[in-house]
Amino acid sequence: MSDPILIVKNISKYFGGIKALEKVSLSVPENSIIGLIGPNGSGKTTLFNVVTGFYVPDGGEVYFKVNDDYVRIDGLNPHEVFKMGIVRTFQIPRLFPSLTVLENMLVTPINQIGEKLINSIRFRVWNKEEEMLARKALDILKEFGKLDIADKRPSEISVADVKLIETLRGLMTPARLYLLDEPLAGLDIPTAYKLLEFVKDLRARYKLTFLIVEHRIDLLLGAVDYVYVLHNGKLLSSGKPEEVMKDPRVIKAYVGE
Amino acid sequence: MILDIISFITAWLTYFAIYSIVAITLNLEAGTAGIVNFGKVAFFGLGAYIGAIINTYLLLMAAGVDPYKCPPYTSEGVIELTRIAASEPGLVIGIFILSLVLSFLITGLFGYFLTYPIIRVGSGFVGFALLSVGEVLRAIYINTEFVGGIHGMLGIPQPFTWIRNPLISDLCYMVLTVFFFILTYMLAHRIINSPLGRSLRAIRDDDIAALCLGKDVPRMKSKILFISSGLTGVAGALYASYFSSVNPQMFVILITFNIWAMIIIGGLGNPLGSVLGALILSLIERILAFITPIIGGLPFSPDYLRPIIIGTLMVTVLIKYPRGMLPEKPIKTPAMELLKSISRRG
Repeated sequence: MSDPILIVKNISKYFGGIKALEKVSLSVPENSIIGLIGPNGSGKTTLFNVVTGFYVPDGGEVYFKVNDDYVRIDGLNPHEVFKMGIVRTFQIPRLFPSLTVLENMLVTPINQIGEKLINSIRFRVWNKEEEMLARKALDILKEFGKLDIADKRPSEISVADVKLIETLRGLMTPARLYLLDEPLAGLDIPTAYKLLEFVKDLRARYKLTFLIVEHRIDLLLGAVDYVYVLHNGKLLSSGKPEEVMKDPRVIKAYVGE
Repeated sequence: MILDIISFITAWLTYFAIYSIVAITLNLEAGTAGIVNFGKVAFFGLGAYIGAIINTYLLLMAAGVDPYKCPPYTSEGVIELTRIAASEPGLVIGIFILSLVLSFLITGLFGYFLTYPIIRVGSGFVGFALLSVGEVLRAIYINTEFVGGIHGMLGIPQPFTWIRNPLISDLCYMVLTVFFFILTYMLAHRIINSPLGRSLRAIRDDDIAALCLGKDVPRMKSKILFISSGLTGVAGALYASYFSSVNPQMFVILITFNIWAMIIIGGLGNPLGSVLGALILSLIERILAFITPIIGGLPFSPDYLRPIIIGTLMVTVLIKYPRGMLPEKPIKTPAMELLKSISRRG
């Protein structure tokens, strides 16, 4: 396997007396699709929140690979983590409801010229960049056959499309690691498989890496390279999907004794 | 009679232009960027007081009068100011321009730094923190003799008083306020229809998601509060010079909610809506100011007419147009045209 792009080292996070995460370590190799599974309350989303800068961990370190160097990213602000090149999606998709799909794509690029107050009032300063970004966004939408919804608002398109766009807008940036929080929740099985196919497609075409939090381990199996299992804030097991499925500890955690 | 009508229209347009500036900037903050600013009057009042201080103290000093011997809140000071305003147009206009610049800068910076502690909390708390800032400033004005305490300051020269004909001097002032109103409108229009405007809408819609997409949310909000507070400060200074006076009673919380009513009736997020709201409400205000003293035979005090009319209007508009009379429009950038041209081709 290739070098890790993300290294989580002995991360702990406590909320009062509750140990949400306790010395969790994992690594995500570049250009892979990694599953992170576990029952409710096992700390999956907390781990995402630590990596993306929403929580400062109570112990441990997170490293992210930037140009062959590893940069420590725990404790950074969420917008700084994004600028490093980590895109995250949410359990409940968070597109901006008053913006069209195209505008949702266009919001994403970082440090746009026209986002500065002094530049925003001078059309000529930013219109070139805007046109270039718009072409890029439309190309991406076209590539995935979604040009017809470009002028629709999120409330007017399907849940599957909302999830798709939430991931696609990351392509507007040079980000290389995508954290997907329960991307399959609320999807019927054929659509879920379609979304996973799309993730594999993205990885191949854009050389991206995915870390996917999911309950539906059965659906995930065919898509992921490696699985980490969290239980009560601790790493319970890890391995190839088929191995993990046979692990008696995992079965016990999911279905009980 | 014709002169009466002209002077009514002049007064209304001046009033309308000043309130439009405040409404447009509030709409930029609240409608576009989602900053619940319940303290609009704080910035308006601060601008007015800064304008008042510069147009009196500094003017007296520049004219060679010791402002501490006859401070502007005493009758001697007012007499001196009236004399200077009528006889030295160059000086008065120069100081007036300086007062607008300083009102913009000081009020803008006040808005910018005020956001530092409070913009990081939830939007409801921002609203109440700003609301209390307005009241704190008012308490400071009341207790500061330098700005005339509870009685405020009089004799702030209107910069065109040296024109002997009051109608023409009022007309000149109206043109000036309308100029600033158009300037503010154009600024707001451009900011809204730019990548910055798009990011502000994103922040308003969902600040957590915006943060996750690399937007420095507090910083962007601070910038918007700088520009819109600065312009509100200019409106305040224009207001002070128009009425030739400031006092703490002019800047009560009611003003804030009056401006909120303008943008809610007009349409949140649409600057043209704020203009419409300001137009309607300032017309109601001016007509009431005109007829309240002569009205009779009402079963209640005519003072209650204003809240009754505005309240009824607001409820009616919101039932008929829940997003205001002129709802928010899509953002006009080259992206929209590009999409249109592509879909036209097939």
